Amino acid sequence: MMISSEQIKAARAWMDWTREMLAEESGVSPGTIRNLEEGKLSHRSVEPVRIAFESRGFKFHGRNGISRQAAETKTFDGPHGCDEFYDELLSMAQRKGGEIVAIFRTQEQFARALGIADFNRLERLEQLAKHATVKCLLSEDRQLSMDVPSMQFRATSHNPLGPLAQIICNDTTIVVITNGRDFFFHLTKSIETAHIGLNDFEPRWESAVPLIMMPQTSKTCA
Amino acid sequence: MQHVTYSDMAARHGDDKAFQFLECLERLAQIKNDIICLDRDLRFQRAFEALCEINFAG
Repeated sequence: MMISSEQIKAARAWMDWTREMLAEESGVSPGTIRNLEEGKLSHRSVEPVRIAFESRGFKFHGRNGISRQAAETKTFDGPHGCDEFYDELLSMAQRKGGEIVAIFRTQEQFARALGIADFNRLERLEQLAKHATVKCLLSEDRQLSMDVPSMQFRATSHNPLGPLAQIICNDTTIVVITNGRDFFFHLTKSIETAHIGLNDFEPRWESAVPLIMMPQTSKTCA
Repeated sequence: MQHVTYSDMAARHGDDKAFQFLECLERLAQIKNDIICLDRDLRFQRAFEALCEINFAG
């Protein structure tokens, strides 16, 4: 679908982007953006710009209309919150695959957040890891005995999140708040928020120390 | 140690959601905002630190 130069200008203004920023987002040159905004439109040059805006939640209506979808949010809380959250995360992984990145204090906290009470029964982690690569950054290297090959754990000494934890799965960012027993999950579906989180995560992950998985032994949660 | 603040959360997730996180932090830390404290940064810091203590003690 072709969009008009007015729609491109309006969406760029909405995002408060310069032409250079839009060029970077859409993978075309700043000169092409200028041409598009001056009405020199071709399907080939408009398409990446339309896709860039649509990936940020924009919708284009007719020749002049634009709207932007508010970020979708969802919360999970209460006694079945962890189970319901796990089902949601697994469903996201099954639908889109890719990578799940997480920041937690310990492996135990990560496992508990996914509703795992018996650390000898890690089927939930295995299920998740079947559909997505999981990278989990921990602030304590205390380990459970788990061996889930496609799940990577690294430890870092600095974790500003404290009692909060975070998971990013594709375009969804999940803030997890816990007192060690109860968990609260807040999901936001927004590519921008996910980008910010991933940009924070990557350098921390790169500088963290990989944990070597310990073989599974008999160990049960108290 | 530099911790995440209410302003960080508000900048990233918007003020409404940051306030929801603040209320949840207070609930899980069992803190009642009995002193009328309008400074959300202070409330967040207090609840955050209380939850840190609970988590790290556990």
